[in-house]
Amino acid sequence: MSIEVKNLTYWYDAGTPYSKKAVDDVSFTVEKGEFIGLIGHTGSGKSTLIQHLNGLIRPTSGTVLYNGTDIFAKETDLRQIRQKVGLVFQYPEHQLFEMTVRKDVEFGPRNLHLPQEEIDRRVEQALHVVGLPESVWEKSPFELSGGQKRRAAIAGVLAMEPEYLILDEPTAGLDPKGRDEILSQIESLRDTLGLAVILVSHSMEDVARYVDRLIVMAEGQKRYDDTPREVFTHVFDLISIGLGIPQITELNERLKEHGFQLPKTILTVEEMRDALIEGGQIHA
Amino acid sequence: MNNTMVRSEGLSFSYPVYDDEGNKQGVNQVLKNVTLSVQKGEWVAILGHNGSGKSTFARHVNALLFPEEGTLWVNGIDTRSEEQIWEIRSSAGMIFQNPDNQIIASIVEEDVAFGPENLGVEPSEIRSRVDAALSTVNMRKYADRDPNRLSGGQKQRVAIAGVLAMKPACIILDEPTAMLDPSGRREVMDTLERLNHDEHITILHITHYMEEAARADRVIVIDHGEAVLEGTPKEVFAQVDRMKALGLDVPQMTELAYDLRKSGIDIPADITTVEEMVEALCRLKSKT
Repeated sequence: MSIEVKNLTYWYDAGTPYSKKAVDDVSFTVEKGEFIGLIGHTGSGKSTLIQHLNGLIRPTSGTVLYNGTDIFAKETDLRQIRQKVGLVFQYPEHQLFEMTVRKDVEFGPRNLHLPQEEIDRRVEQALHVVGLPESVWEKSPFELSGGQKRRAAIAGVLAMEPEYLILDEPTAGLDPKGRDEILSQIESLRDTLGLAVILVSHSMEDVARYVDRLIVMAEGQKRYDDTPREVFTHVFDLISIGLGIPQITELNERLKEHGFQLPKTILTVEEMRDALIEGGQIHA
Repeated sequence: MNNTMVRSEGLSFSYPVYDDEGNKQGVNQVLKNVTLSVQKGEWVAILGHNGSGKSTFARHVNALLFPEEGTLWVNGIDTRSEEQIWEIRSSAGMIFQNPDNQIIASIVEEDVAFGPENLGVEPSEIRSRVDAALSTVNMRKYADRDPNRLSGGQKQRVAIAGVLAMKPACIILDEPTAMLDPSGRREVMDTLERLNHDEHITILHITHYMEEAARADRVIVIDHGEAVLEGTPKEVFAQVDRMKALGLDVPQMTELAYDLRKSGIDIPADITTVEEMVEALCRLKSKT
């Protein structure tokens, strides 16, 4: 079970004076159950890239294979691919439209012409997974808080029971608590349902903390594809391509310059605390 | 000379809530008796969870909303004095989260000129204001570009230049970096620092990034419509448990200091920057 991106290239406005290569010969494979972070500066091609994964954009050259099937082949039913590869856009709450939260989440499965019991089961499961309490299910989505609206919108995609979930900056504009809640729910989706998750993010702290694998885009090309621990060792290069490293990772670099004996990379506050205390660098 | 830029006294505000038939069902009390003041030249960060009322407060400062109870003065003017509303809006400029929603012209310098043109400023004066504003945000060399082809950070700086061209005494920014990549965030934060330090513009900065708030002179925390906590970033962030209970966070460095203290390490609780943490840890290390 995998999505395989093969030598994918995409030109915007191809054949016009404004044509621009947005994605440049990118290849990678996503296996089920992976939690991947996708980072890159604005205009690096991340959003264009992910829209290829469920066939919203057709590549100029190269292709995407879903379990070995070319999704852009004539005989492929893209609707089926889109059910299996769920895409949550930025600010998905702007797409809420129904009278109640439940109806909004129901919209996708209802269009699959499933029996009502199956629809109910999927909707309720999706709403539970994103942590929306039953008390709001019959409310208008517009009465919810920002974080709740976003979760309702994500539930709408989950109710399609995708195998791959791609989220484009799901925490933009959320407060720290809302951000942590959504990210840990996404993590548990991967753990409990075995979903593969691709998280597009501008937060180095978030990807450092949650993902197992980090793909870095720069100028349309894939620059790195490795564990966050490995990627965040390339401090100067990341800064030069408009990104950065988490503050705690920066602290690690600085302390090593001052003679501290610390690991190559540090990704979280807890790791740093342990490295300092258990590593015998400072004492109570 | 009055040194207060923004002063609110007992400010309350609510939105009506309607049922499905459009009948008024009740009210959603968004701000409750908010009393605070911001000095001229100050950089104040406003923190609060989503729905806490911070954006509603910001919209009052720009006279987009008016107090239901209490009073709000901007640069000494009561925001409810209708005849002075344009004076208020040109002295307190506003920047929103999404740069794409704030850009209206197809050439950068025309976009920046939009504000002063509407104020009826002399054309020669507009020219010099636009040039100065674009220089301040380091976007002068993009003056003749199409704003839609700029990066997020560049667009947001153009939006800031548009506000600057109106010569405001105060700028209110409502999560100006929420949609930006790390370099865009750095650009906007460095721009704010320059505006505040060099141009002495008062800054009210709403943000969910604690590292950004740590750069302000003062932090105000709004919770359920009330100003519940205020002080220097150090004073506020040192209260880690309180901040977490409010659904907020603290900078990573403050969190590390907190964790180390819990493990019995003698380190100041109010560290907010990498710089300070390096210094404190080096001091501890040399002791052992």
